[in-house]
Amino acid sequence: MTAGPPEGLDRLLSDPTRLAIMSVLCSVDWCDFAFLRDTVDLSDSALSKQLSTLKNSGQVEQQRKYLGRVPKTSVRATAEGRDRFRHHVEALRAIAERIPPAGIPGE
Amino acid sequence: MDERNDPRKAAEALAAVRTHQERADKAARLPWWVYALTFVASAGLSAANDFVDLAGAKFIAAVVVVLLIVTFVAGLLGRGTAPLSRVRGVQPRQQIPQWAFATLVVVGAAGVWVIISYGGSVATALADAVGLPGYPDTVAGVVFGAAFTLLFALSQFALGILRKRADR
Repeated sequence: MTAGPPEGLDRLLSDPTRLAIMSVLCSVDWCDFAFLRDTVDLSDSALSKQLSTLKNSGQVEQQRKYLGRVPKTSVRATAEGRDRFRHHVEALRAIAERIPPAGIPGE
Repeated sequence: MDERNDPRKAAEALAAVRTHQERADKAARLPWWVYALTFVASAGLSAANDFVDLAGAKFIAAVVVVLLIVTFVAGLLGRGTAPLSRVRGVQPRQQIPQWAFATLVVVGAAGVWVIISYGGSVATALADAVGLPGYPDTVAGVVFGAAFTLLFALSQFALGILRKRADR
């Protein structure tokens, strides 16, 4: 008998890149675009694209500020985004715990 | 969507989450020079009493007050964001349990009370013991600076552990 996928898995977070982004954002209060880009090893355009997707689903919010004349974009996970990430990780844990112990005959 | 039914894919995804969170935690941690600066500032402020006259002490006190005001105003303008976080581009999470915050406040207050009550006599005795009887404030500054920096580092370490526990 195979158990079905547990509740809480988020379709958007099934993408490894978006999961990495949310992992970082949920570890901090907020961070700059550049910090996030360097931490998840993405190009500016790739990160912008993924952030747009996450922003449209209400998981992150962005704020543009100016430090003198230099624009700085800060990113933070919303309360909803943090909840969805936590449920997704709990669901992943539930699935991962189904791994049978190594060395069982017939595996 | 493989991890929906594949335990191994789910375990890999969890490992990736942990890796990224550890990397973010490490990058958001206070840099070493903040601790070095804390030690130098706290030790230097006390040591200055051995080398400057009353006018100098007043000047140092005025500089400290101005720095505190600047930091306070910068924090207000940044809506609670620490100036250092703005420079570094990341702000660690601030949420800590109330009991942990209360414990830190009580320990800090107790430390200040001990220093005020016994600091002077202990510093003089210590300076005599190490052969620097003319520099009691310098000896006291080094000792209290080291103790303060150690307590500060320990509080950051404890807060980091509490945050990690809250994530589990």
